[in-house]
Amino acid sequence: MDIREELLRRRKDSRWIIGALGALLLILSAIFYFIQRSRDLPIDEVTNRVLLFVLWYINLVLIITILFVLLRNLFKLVVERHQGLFGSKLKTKLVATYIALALVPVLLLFVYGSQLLQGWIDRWFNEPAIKQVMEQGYEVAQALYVQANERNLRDARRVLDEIEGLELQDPGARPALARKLQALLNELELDFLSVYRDTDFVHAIVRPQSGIGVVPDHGDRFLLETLDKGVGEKILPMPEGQGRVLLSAVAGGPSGETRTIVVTGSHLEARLASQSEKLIQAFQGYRQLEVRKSDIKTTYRLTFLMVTLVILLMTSWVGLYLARRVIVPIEAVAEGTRRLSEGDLDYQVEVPADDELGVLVRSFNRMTTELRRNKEDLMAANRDLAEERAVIAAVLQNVAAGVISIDQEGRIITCNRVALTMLRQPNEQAVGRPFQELWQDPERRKLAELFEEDPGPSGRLSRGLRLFLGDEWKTFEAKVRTMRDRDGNVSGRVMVLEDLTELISAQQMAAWNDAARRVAHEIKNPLTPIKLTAERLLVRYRQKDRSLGKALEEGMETIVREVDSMRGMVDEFSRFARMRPPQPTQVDLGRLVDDTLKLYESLKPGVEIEGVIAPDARSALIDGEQIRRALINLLDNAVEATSAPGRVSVNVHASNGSLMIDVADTGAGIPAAAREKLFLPHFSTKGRGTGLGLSIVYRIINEHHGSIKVEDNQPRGTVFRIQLPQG
Amino acid sequence: MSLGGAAILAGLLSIFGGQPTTAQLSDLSVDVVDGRLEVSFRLREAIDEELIERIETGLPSGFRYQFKLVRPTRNWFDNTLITSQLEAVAMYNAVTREYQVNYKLDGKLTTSRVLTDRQELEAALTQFDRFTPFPIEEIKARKPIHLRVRAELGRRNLLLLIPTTIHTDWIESERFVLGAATGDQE
Repeated sequence: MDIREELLRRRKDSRWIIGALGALLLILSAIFYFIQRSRDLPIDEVTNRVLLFVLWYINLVLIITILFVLLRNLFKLVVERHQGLFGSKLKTKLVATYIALALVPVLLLFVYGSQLLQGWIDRWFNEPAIKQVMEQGYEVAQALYVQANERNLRDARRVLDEIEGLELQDPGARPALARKLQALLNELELDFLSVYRDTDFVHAIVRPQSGIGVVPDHGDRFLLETLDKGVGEKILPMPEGQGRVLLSAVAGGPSGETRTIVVTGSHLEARLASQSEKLIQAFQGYRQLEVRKSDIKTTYRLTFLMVTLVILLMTSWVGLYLARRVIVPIEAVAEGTRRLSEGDLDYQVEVPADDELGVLVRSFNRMTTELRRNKEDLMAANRDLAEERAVIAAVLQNVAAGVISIDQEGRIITCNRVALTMLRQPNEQAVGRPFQELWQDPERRKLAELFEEDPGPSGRLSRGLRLFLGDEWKTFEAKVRTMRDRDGNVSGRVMVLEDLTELISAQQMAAWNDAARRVAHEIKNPLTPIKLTAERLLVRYRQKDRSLGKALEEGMETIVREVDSMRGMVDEFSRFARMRPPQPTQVDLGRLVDDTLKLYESLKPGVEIEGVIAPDARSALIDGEQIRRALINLLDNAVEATSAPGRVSVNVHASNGSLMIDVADTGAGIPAAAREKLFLPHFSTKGRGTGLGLSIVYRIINEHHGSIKVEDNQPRGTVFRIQLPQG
Repeated sequence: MSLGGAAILAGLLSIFGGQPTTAQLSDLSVDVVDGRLEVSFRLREAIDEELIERIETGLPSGFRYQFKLVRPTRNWFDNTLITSQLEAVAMYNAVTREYQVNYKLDGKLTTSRVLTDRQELEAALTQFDRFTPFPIEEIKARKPIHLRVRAELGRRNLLLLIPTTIHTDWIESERFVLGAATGDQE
């Protein structure tokens, strides 16, 4: 969802909420208005049948709507829980909480409010004072009519008795009847008096002062009822503002014959009539209220229920909406975590939220983005590493040197093909096996011993090895180095094997060529003076020179000297060839060095000879004689190469478990090209001598399991650095 | 609904809705006289002290009778040919102590009577003789038909809340044929 859609959706949500609140306000206002107006409405309208049904159907619609909303959400929750959707339990709790929070107080309010309302209505109707006043007023009003009626009936019976015997059907007797009735009217103070034979009018008199004016028309039905029941009564309305006439009638004579009816009447003045009727109507109104009490209660109960349901609907809706607002981001994040656990790092939660849940959603999205980026970086790094490993593997497989590495447990983790070929084990599966298992035979066991040997703090070890593999001798240079991880902890060792067999063979061949050339040259040098001397002696002998004797003497001396020179050279070769193995003993190295240096003191003017022996390097397990010879060879060269003013120094010290002897001079130095051949037999930069001096040094040091190398001295000259195992 | 549920509901209705009515229509007879439908019937046990009290308070009270002329249809809903409604409403004047009974047929006042006697009042509200509920001149019905009558007795609030009207059951006349001679009933 892009930002625009999100904004539109939020705006729509806001419109919904505002609209719903507005509708609620409108409905409640309308209901409130209705309740207020209902106080002034006639009771007929309040208890109107149509109104009751309308209210009930509105309530019914509201109930159905609420049930629909609740059941729909309940159904969805049940389905989600049945499907085991993540977050459905939380959603159930939230929805249940919101609905309970909405339902319980509203329903309690409804029950309490309706009971209160019913109580008010009952209390009002059961107010004894009101009811008593109403009843007494009614009884007073009715008593007025009853008393008047009783008096009229009594008077009517008196009149009936008085006129009994008169021939009413005889028109001639009418005047006497009229006089009699007039007298009775006056005597009884009646306002009206009339006589009938059945329903036939006979005579009527109205007292002029009564206010009745004309003879009231009571209709035949009144007379018929009187005939039927023997007595009758009727209240006749007068014209507006003239009160009422109370009529009473008595029928005389036996039933079945023509009967005489006497009707007496009294006028009830307007004010009295009006007041009594108001009292009666008031009581009637009160009784009507009592009869309609149930309907009134129902009307207000339905109205109250309608308010309750509207509030309930709105609170339920708002509750569900809020629950959804809370749940949707949580569900989305939960879904995101599920997708994340399945490896989908591209998943982004696209649920808008502003509050803390929004922070949660954004944090989750940032987390997945970071995870995806890290994964991509890791994959790229792995690809690079794999490529690098492939390159290294290719290099290892194609490099001329054999490479073998082991871990801390001694298992071989790398062994290239060249190494196995060198060691005549081309078909062995080396990787993963302990090196002791791979190299069990006595020859290869020497390699295993190199791995087992402590390389010391430097972590480096270098050995020349000569192994009899297959059917030939092989010469190797083995370099062992300790491997360390990033934290500096030892993680294993690596050995690089270099097959020097052919190189040494070639070097030996070249050396022997050079040696032959040099020996030939050295032998040729004394032969020439011997030959010349012999030829000169022969010439003198043929010339029979007198100085032949002297010449012979001189010539023989020359020949002897040259032969001695040749013998000396032969002896040196012989010693080199027959040099014995070192026999180490504990030697005071300091004294050995001091004694050797004394041989060169003041040997060459201007060349300073000095020796520095560290206290921790004074004692060593070495063959003292051979080491002295090596030192003399090195010092011979150094003193010869150093011009005055100059300095030749010997520095002896211990370092990393080794004994270091540095022999330095301030001479012209050795060209780099010459350094490679410096320790080969019969190689010399001086153009004279046997060229065996440095070869002898190299051999002595090598047989002491040490090493020697040549470097430039600073600021000038050359330094030979000898490393010997200490102790 | 289970028996227990039905019993509970009936109990609630009896507590909050009042007793079921015992009123019933009876003695329904129909005559077609000179092209007019004349109906006679009685409503029994409909007037109780509550109704009398209601009338005597001055409230217009009474009954509403509903008439249906129905042609029965086999295997289907019956066909209603014509309907009408008669209201018999009594009002008491406490000053004159007279009952005025008005009759309205389909909302139009047809007759008004003034009574002073309660028995007359009860008869006026519940006994009808040779009453014509609707014209039948334009009704075409060759097959036998019958008249259905029901009385609406008033209103009751179920569970103190739900307004309902109280009716008698519908009663049916014997079948008759329009245009048949008087008393020619099936």
